[in-house]
Amino acid sequence: MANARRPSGTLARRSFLHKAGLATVAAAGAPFIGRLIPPALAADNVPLAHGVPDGVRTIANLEALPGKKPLIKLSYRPPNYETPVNYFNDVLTPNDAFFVRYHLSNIPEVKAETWRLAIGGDSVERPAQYSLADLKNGFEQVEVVAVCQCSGNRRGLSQPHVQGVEWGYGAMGNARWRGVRLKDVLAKSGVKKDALEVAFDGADSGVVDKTPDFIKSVPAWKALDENTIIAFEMNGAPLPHWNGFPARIVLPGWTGTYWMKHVTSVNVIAKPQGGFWMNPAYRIPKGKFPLVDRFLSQETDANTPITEMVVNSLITNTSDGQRIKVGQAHEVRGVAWDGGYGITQVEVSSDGGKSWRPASLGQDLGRYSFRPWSYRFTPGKPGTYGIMAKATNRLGASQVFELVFNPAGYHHNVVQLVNVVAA
Amino acid sequence: MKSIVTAIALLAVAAPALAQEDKIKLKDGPGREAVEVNCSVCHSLDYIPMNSPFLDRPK
Repeated sequence: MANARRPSGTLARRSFLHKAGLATVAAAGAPFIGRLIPPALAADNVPLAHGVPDGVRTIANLEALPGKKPLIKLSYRPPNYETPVNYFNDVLTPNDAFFVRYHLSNIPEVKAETWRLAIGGDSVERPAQYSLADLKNGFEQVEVVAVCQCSGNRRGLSQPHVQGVEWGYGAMGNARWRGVRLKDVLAKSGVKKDALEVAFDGADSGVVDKTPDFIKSVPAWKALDENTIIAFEMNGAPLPHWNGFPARIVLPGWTGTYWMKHVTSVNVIAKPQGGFWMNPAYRIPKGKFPLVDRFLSQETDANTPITEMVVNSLITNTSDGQRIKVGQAHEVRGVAWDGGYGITQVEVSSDGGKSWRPASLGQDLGRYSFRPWSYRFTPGKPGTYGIMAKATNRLGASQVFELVFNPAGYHHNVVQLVNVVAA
Repeated sequence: MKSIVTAIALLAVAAPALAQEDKIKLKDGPGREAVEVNCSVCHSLDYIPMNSPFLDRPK
């Protein structure tokens, strides 16, 4: 929590919230007030991952934000909602089931007509400002299918537990993003030779003055990669409000922290970007993960910013304790992904990891996308079968069997074990 | 005062959460009200039961 000031000397929190909320309703006619909020499902019905902290069971609900299907609510404000695993049976995650992740609570409803994107910083020759129409009409539109995964996806499974939003498996999604190349937009402003990083800011902000604004930078080379885009569509529709309307940064291969929602400024800079969200936030210990992409201008002796996603997979259609029939084929399905090198193999075990067989890889939507996979097996006799899946990418990197512990709970790609019972 | 004004402004957007947030109950104990009043300015209280049981665990 930031340095919040007490809102009133004597006002109890609930009283404060009610009074403040009522005053706001009366004064502002706020955009989301009055929309129907479906009742929450009880915690017993919430499909939580095994291994999350006990406290998650006391606060998680299946609830729908306006325009969204019921997702796993972990926090109301800022809103952090996880996608239930069954949605990953489709290679593209539906917009209305796509996870929601915010750091700051003040999230304005941005109007497309009045939104502007400022291009600036000391390392551009000509600062510029664009409307949404300017972007759509002034630059070539491109598409990329890419996984957006929160750096802390599966944090809740860390042992020992570490603090933060205790995500299970669903702080991620895969979408077809449409927009314009950031490199094209920056080229029009003239990028100077001393450009070191490119910093993004969005429309959301903190509640108190001292809350650090959520500003993220990336190395200039990553910003200028042809796959990095300013996206305004997701799966053929405008971005949902909760996923960054009207435009967000899409940084294929890298974790979601850099995918700035409601982006309002892009600054090309010659010095490392400072601020809480660059350091100490979103750091991993140096040398612990087999990563290729490095963010050298932000590295310290001890740690480095998180960058690309590690190779990973998820079983999507088979759950722990599920009953299957002896002598009848059961198809295990799932998805695999990595930081953009491409999935070359998924192996599946049905005996708890003693033996492995290759799964069939499905539709290839590009190296940044989920790669669906499937594997059929027939249990020959009654008993418990330990189903596991392990993905390998084009670099030969694979998942781990033991957690690579780190204080922020990032890069969890431990091979899953799902026990099914044949009878 | 500015933080209060800002907090009220944010509630305009976060209004759907208002009613739902009231369901979050913190355990009674010393300092509960101080936690509720101070922490809830920036974030809903669900962060606390989500994290506190394992943070409270004896080392």
